Amino acid sequence: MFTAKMLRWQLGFVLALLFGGCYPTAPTYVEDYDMVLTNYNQSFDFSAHKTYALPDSIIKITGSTDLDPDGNDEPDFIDQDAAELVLDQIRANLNANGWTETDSLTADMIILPSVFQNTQVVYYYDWWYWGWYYPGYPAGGWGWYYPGYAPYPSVSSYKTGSLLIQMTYPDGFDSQDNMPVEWTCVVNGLLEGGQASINSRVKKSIDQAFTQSPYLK
Amino acid sequence: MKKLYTFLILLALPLGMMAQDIQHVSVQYCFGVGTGSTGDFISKASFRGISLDYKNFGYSDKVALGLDFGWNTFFKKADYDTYTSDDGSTSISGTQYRYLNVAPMLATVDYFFQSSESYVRPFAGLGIGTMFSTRTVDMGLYRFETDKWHFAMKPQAGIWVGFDDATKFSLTAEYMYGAKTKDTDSRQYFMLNAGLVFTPN
Repeated sequence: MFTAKMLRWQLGFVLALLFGGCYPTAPTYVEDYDMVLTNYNQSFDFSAHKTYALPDSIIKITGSTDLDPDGNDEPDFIDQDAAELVLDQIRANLNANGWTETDSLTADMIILPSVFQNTQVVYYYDWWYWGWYYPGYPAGGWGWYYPGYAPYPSVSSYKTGSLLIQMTYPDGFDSQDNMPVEWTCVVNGLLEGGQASINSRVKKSIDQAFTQSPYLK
Repeated sequence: MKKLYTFLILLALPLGMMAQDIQHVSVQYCFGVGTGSTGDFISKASFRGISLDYKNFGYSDKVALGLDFGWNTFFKKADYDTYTSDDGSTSISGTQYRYLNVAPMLATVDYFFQSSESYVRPFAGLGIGTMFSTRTVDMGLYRFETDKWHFAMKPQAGIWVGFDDATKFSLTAEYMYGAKTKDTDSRQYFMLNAGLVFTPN
């Protein structure tokens, strides 16, 4: 006869077979987390605006509600070696696409790279972070807007830290003092693993961002 | 030779005492393969699945009315690739981890071709009800997840083989179909289930 004890054994056996649950396998290698997202304003003519300016540092946003916890009137920056690696790769790709680097006062486009070390990318972070660099920065502060597109896809949750690159158009300031971001790039997963691996993946991912953005040529 | 005798004795077991059994519960391991849009999303077979089925022969010795509850997990790691939105404004490159969890809940009716006195009982039937599905794509820092209820139905065919008066082996093939919704594709997959059927005391 089939008994309750047998049923318990049977259920246990089947459940043991199922082991992994709803999400049986997670990424094994750091590279598996690498992701590149690009998004842009389809109404903007990039071919008519091909001069750009890049800062010499990359800001670090930790998610703290206190923008300036050390009180030095400046945001935190990522390690300068890492910053130069990123900036050089952005520069190399833009130059290869026929763009020309100039100073921030005359550039068509100003490119703002920032690193989010916590759990998610904040597309509307405080403008204060760029007050040290952006020309014409007013004391009152500005905001961002993303003309004609949502900068982020509709997602359920986020995981690790990311590099956000915003390509802004200073001549496009609107009446509400919002800065248009014509191209957005998010590179994710770069801060994990050994340094040589990180460097290689930074270059590869930034190259991929431009590969999948042919409208920047 | 002793094993052969044992096997033959098992085959010849008289199971006339099964006649009075009206209610049956089965627990089955489910192997699934996605088809259609489900197969396009995850082509790999699912080895994670379970079903809990109830059948009642109160109406007829050959007709069982029942309820089926199931759960299957499909998974696939898709190689690094670039995906672009329909309007062309967004492109995402990365390695995708795709998951599909489905939990059908169906009312069933099955016709058994042999009476309950038979040792081997093939059957065929239909199920109709609902299915809850969760479709998940993990890519870098993002998780895209869609939860939906679907109208669901399935044809099925199987066989029961008796062990003793209250325990049987069950093997079932079924094609599960969860209809598309406004926001999601249909969920469809072929399943092969194996398990045990027992008569609750």
